[in-house]
Amino acid sequence: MSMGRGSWRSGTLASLVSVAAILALWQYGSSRAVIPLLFPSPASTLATALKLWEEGRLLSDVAASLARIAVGFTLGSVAGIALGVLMGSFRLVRLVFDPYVQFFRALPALAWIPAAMVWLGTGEESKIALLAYTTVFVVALNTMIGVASVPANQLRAAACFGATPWQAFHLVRAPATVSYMLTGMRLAMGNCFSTIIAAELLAPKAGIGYLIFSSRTWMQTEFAFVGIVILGTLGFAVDRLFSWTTHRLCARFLPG
Amino acid sequence: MHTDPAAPLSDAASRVGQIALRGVDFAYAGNSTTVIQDVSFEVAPGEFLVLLGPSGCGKSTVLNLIAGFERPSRGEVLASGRAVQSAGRDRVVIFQDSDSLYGWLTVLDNVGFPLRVAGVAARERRERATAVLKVVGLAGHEHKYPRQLSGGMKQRVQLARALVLDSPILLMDEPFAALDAQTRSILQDELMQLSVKMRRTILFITHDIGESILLGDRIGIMRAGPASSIKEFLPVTLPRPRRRSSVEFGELYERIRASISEEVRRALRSEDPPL
Repeated sequence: MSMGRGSWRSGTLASLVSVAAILALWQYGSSRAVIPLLFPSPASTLATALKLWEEGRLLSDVAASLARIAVGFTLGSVAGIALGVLMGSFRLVRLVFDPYVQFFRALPALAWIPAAMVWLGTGEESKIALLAYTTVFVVALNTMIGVASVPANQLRAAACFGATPWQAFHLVRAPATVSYMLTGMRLAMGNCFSTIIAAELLAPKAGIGYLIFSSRTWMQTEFAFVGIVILGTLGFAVDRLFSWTTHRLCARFLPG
Repeated sequence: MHTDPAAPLSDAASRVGQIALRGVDFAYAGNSTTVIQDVSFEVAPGEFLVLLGPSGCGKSTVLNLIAGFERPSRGEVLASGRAVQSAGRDRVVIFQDSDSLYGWLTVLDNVGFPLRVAGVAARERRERATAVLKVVGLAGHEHKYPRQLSGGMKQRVQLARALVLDSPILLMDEPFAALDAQTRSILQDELMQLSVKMRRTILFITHDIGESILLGDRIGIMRAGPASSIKEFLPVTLPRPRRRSSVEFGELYERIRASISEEVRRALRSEDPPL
């Protein structure tokens, strides 16, 4: 990064001012609401969050959602990388699977909720399946593009050195594709955070989605706002963590 | 592929490093345009042959056929006396574009890569790669990544990676064309010295006349495409090290320049008149 420390500071400052302004606007808006119950203020949202934290419920909801995302995202990523590598490496596999990948990629997990409930029940399996579903095609597509865009000269050079097809794959194609896999995974992680809410529509016992939906039942609008803020913050934090970790551990595989 | 077991050993040995094309045509599959037509020539073991010609004349096609990246539509291509079936470690290519280096490997691991493919143990790989890096003037840069190197240094890494294998044939596809003039000149001089020392067969593709005189034992001037072939071969008898400023260099330069412009003019005449 060419940005100096000074510009980093002023960048952070601008973000903080922006967040403060939104909080002020929110506070003002809710104070003007006719029935405060329907539009909780930042202060009452924070108070509710603290109360839920003390009860231990907030932690268990966040932990339940994150655990589901971790499992579904991992399964989806592994399957997506495998599918993408096969599609990128073999024309026949690509031709066979491409219509399905394109079809399902555009279809949100939300549409599968009834089917998932009928086929897999309302337990953890259906939620994890939906998260894996929302991950697999994005990762597969990016991996496939990566495998197909390995510079021809890198493969020709390997052929000159006498590389077998397997050596060309694991010594050249696979490492050359890592950055594409990571891009797909990062996009899929964002998908997981929107899908988790849909997945937790399925008769949950805990989770951020459960927290948000239960607010309607108990007329606790603050619960929904706590859930929204927590979910957005977690999504942002996990994305940053993912980016930071990959730049730490996989820097040599990234372009630039 | 099979050498005649009855042939005397000295005969097979004398062909190591030899390149031969016999009546070679090439057209891309599904494309009626012939890129090269009826190309026949030989490169003797240890010879430095430069193929020189205008862009689009099929120079790189000749190299790709010898490398085994492409198969001839007609005729045969032989390396060290054996028909070329595919790419192999007896003929290593140095590409114009340094994107053939592996960005996720250090300089040392890039140079050691051919040895890794060949199953050489890590320790020996490191030793041999370090030694070759010294030869190409990259000592001290072993642990950098390609993205941290200048264009000239990347081409030195490519050269080192090709030399580490002891292949009898080096195929160089305009390796200095993308470099700035100063760097190019330095690398040309170094390759001139290195090629005399290492005595490998080198096929060098370029469109730079000065480069061809500086480096080659012999220069093959190619006709303009399509259906290109080799117009003439000129031996370069100037003693090494060669100087661009010498009279003989200048005379040969003019001789080649005239030959190429005649070829370009002929190609322009034969083209369809513009709309």
